[in-house]
Amino acid sequence: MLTMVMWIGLAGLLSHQEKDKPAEGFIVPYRLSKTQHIVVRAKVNGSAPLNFVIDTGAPAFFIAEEAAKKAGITSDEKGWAVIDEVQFEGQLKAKKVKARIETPFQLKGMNGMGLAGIELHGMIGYSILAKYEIRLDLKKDHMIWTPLDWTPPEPKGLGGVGKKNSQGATLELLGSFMQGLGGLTGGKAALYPKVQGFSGLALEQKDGKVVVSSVFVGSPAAKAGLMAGDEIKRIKDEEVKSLADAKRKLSMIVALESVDLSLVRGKEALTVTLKTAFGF
Amino acid sequence: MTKYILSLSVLLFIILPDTIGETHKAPMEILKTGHLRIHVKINGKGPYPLVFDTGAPLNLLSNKIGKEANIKRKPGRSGISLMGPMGEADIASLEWSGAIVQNVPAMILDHPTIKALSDHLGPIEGIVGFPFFARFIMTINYQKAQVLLEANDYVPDDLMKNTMALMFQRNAKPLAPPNTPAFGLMLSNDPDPKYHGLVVEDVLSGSLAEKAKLIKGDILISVNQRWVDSPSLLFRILAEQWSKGAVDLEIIRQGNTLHKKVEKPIENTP
Repeated sequence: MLTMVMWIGLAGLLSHQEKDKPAEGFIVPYRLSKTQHIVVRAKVNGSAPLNFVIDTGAPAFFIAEEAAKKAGITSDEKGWAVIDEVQFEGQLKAKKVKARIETPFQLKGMNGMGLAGIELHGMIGYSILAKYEIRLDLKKDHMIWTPLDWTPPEPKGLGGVGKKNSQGATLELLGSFMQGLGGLTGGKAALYPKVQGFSGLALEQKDGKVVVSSVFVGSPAAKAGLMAGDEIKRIKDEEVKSLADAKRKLSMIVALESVDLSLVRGKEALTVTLKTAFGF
Repeated sequence: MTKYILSLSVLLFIILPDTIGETHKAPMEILKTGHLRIHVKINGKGPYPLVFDTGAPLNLLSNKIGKEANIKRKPGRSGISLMGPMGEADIASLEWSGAIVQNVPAMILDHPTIKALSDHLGPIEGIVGFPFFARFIMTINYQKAQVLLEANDYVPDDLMKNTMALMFQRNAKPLAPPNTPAFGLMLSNDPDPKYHGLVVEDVLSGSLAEKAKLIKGDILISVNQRWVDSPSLLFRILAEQWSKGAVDLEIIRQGNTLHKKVEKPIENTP
């Protein structure tokens, strides 16, 4: 009876908080990981964006210990924390969200191997998912989450109540395949792909030579002393054979890398050092 | 005008028969642990009690189902594991309340987790995951204990192939910028520690970035509400979002949030 009163009270509180929800729901962008997980990004208490798997197989909102530590989140002795604000990528914000601070082993396995193509920081399970109607279409780059007007019952763990890891135990087992998969493929993938360096010069082919046609004012190419009309003979000590070859060689230079270019300007041969920037 | 009406009606004619009236209401049981139990027919047999798990990249079925539903394992992809006989198979038909997927991959295996769950929560014979639900526009509603499923024409990738490809792409080319000619914005390689966006280090004079009135010190937070806190993410998201048209840049300037609408640079602009 008492519990009943409490439920009603809570439900009232929740519906009050979500009064200004848009009728059509919130856009929640997601990315499909290489491991075919639906991954959303969220800031917890204003942290850097973290990557969470949308996981109906998880009973709670799990945040990996290291990520929680970086975000300044401390858990109670039972491994739980209350997050003041979870800000999802897109428009949705959730207040006072209970989270389990724990690193399920399959997450460790996937991150260790770099299997997902991105680092995963936890999963969003029942305790959050149950509060929304969630529409997912893999043909679109976002989900639609519409808040529901109810308070889902608290989930109960399989093991002893309140014992650390008791809730994680079920989850741990459900995802155990990932580690096996990691063992099969071996090695570790690069999580953050490098990007091409920006130099700010345009090239053209002229009388069989590869020539700088223009240099962006203030660009790394201008700072390196490159000028329109310069013939490019070598990039990174490799001979430039054609315009396509020069473009290919430049496309392999990553942002913030320094490379030597051998030039012919008029009758003079010279070498300049180009330090690319990150830009576009 | 007539041409457009005609082509629209042709389009409707093609699309309608496949999609209209194809939304399936699939019930689910919310277990006390928060897991979802659903009832699924395999090759017309069953229904069998399975856990619906959006975090599972694979479908998983017990050896009991394998036997009863006469599932043919792939030769060379089966054997005996620590957990007993296991194998990969393509299920001819998997049906959840009228929503059917044909030739869907699954692992056949008696997994100790499923056994543990089953002992505690009543019968569970496996997991339905990504290879099934990816094939539908899916609306999950815990309050109604129901999932709406409407077939889409999404074709899921092969998980194994994906993983292998990732392992071999270590020497891949660096990610190309999403545009030529240049937009003229130069940014920090690392995100700002407070706002988690990339900091504008330089705006090239005469560039489109200058015309968009971006200035040094601006912090670029998001593109069409997608956070851009690393160089590769910025390139990827710009490429995706520019393909749909002009994008909205969210910027922090001296602590204030600004928005700029920016078109993709096109050839023939400086």
